[in-house]
Amino acid sequence: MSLKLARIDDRLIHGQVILGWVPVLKPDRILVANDRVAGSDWERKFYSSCVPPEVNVSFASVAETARQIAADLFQTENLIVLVESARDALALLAAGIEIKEVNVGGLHYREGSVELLPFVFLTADERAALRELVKRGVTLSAQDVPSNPARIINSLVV
Amino acid sequence: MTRTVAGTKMISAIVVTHGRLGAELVATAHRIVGDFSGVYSLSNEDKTPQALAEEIEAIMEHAGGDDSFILLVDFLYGSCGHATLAVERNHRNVSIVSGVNLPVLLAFLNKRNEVNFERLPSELAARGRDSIQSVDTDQL
Repeated sequence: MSLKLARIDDRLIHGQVILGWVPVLKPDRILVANDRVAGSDWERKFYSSCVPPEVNVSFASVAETARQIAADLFQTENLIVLVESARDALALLAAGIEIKEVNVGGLHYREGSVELLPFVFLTADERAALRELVKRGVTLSAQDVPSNPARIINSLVV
Repeated sequence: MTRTVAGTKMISAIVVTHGRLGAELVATAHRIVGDFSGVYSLSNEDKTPQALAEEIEAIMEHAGGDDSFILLVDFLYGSCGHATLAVERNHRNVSIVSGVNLPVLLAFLNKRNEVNFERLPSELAARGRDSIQSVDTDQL
């Protein structure tokens, strides 16, 4: 298993991932780690239909994703792992998954959130989760698509 | 947006797109055919799919429960598709047509009083497909 990208994006699979990251990283599989989607037939079908046929896609709860990675279920595959919140990224780390760098790709405006970058709005809870990721040694790289510059935001969330 | 005949059942449209595409499509349609009502636009910009779905629901509520709605989406495979599908699955009076372009919007304005709600989505999709061609002067 080679983790090519671990990305926080509240849109999960969408144009920026499929047209931006997939052609550059050429993953074998997109792994959506999300409790809601794992339990939603229509969302699994919808997100599956967004993915080109040469890329595998699977859906599991955050806890189950951590178990699958730990059990080396994807041993021969290059992966993109998508979560919709910093909390879920933190949960993967807390479950023992080794992630050195987290791509902060899109956290859009929600009630009570503050703009950090045009595509990154943080609630107090989201900021706390990002801070915890930094404490655990993660590099937070804010970048929506590969053709735009990445910006390390560790110092902005502590 | 004002309604022409209050309380009358009609088919409305919400154009749900990336960026300013939807707003500009509607503005352009106004320049071509003049005044009309019951057509709204929403952008996905800066919004979660969940927030976008809530805004679609809010427009529908504001427009009135008797209306049927065609959600015209620019690109199905992303947040606009997710949000519109989340709304569609909970409402019997909602259909989605993806790949909206100017001919599709103009066809909606032309046909919404002639074609019933069940048939309108497939006619709009057909219009969109017909509008996209590879052309040169020899084929005219």
